[in-house]
Amino acid sequence: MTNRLRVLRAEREWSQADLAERLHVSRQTINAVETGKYDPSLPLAFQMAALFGMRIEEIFQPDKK
Amino acid sequence: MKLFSRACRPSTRQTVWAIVFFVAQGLGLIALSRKWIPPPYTYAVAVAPLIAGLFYIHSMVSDIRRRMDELQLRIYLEAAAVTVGGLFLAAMVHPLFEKAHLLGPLNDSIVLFLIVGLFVAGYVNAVRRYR
Repeated sequence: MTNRLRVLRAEREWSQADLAERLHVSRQTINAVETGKYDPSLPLAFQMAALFGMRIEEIFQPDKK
Repeated sequence: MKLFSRACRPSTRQTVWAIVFFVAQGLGLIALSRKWIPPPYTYAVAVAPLIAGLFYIHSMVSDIRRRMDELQLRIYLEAAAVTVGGLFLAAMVHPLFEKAHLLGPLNDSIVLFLIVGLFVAGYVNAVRRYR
């Protein structure tokens, strides 16, 4: 799965720590999601979508094969 | 990722129960080996560290639930899976190694060493994967 989290975060000039604080997770989790090493749970993905005012599929896209 | 983040540090309650456990264990071993306590009360001395240990486990699990996010929980789960799987494997193959005269009898110290070693190895491996 790919995501636009890094871009969306950069547009708002938030650091990983800022985003982590807003989502009540660790900075390590944000980093792992941004680098594609960890796919967030559905509740966390919904939280991210709500924070950015977008739909989940506008942030996360399945890998194209 | 930091190897041991703030979420992994034990709370005061958890630390207190760990201290109570070790004190009860140490004093109990000394008291029982030197026969300071008469027979009916020896049961209480033996059970005391067990109770403290159960409270320690309870506070550890509630700390994990309260303080860790989903990635940290997954890292702990992977480390626990490595520990349980490794211990099961060791218990299964040990009789063969013993019969082949490659290893001696399995004692408590080796099992404790295996638990700690396997958990640390599993934890470090999971942290590296998600870094």
